[in-house]
Amino acid sequence: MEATTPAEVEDWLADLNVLLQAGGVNAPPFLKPHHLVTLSLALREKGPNFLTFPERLMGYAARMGVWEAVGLICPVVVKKKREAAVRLCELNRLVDRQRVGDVADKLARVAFSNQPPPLDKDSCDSVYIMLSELAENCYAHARIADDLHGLACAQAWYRGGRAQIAIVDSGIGLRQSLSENPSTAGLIMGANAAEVATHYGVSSKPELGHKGYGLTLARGIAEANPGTMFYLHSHGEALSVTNGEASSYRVPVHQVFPGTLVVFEWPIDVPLRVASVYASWPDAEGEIDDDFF
Amino acid sequence: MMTSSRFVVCQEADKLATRSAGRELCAQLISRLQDSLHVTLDFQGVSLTPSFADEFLGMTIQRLGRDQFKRRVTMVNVSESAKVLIRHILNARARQASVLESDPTLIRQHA
Repeated sequence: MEATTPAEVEDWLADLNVLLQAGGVNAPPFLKPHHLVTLSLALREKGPNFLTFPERLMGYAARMGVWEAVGLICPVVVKKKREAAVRLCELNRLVDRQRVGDVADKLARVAFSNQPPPLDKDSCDSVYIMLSELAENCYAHARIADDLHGLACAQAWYRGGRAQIAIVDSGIGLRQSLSENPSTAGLIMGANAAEVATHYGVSSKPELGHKGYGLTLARGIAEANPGTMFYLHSHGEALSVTNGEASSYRVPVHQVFPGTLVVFEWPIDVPLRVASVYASWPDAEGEIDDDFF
Repeated sequence: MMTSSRFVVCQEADKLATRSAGRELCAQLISRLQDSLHVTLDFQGVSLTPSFADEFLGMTIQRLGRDQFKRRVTMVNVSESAKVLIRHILNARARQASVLESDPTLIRQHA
């Protein structure tokens, strides 16, 4: 499995816009989590009566729960296949806060369930912690009143040595969300909202003590691990991290996704350490106490 | 009042990932501290998220203050990576608490 690039994700977003406007588009060679979450959420909002894929992709789409996520009845019988080479976590709708931890746990397990003992518990915990934060953000920002809950899914390719997790919501987006709070509105003036939202301490709800940990963690882990790809896109503003380098930009209008998409893909044999990201966070001013344990 | 009690984090709540879960556990810990002079928090088997840790431990230290927290709460079975997170959160919240306490212009309240 080739590593996914931010350009591939954006090409797909352009194709998705064609699909929504024209009713059909050429299918990609493979479906990955970022295809599935964006397609399913966009179609759920549009409310089609019918959805089909090329024959070669029908079984996979069915196993990943695309029709259910869109709100349709799956037209094919889902066959359980031997999963020696890949491991899947089907589309999960984040319908209540209590499920956030469960979904994060299911997503994280995908990458590690094929690992020979001993399990790299620190990496597994790091992915779980990052996903818990991202999934809670996604739940908090989704348009729940419109029945447009956030979606998440994951896949690991054991032979290819990679895993990808994608999470999406159709909320108002990072810029609008940050601009509605007087304490963060100034931060995004003249700046890329996707870039700003990944900085430590930036949250649209700072008065509640929120610090936007999820995006900060995802960016920090990706920057510390070459080979990892982190992609954040919110209503046309994007930040990507590849080869440890972050870059933020505005995507062309035909590639805009009307929601917030997070894609995290990494080589599963590389240890991920959330503690190194914690250690990079700024200390509180004043008395620093190391003697809590 | 009991002298000491043990608070096994993974037994007190099913889900330990979210802010709301941390808030609930903070309330339970504060309640326990009303009955016990000292509480040992056991983190065996717990993967701490920053949001959960902030609501659970950060808000507890904000309520108690740094000195009382250190005197009355002991944390055991904490992984090395969780220690880095907890130190960060406790220092940040203790700092906030001391700023609040030293500001004579504020009307203060606790949830």
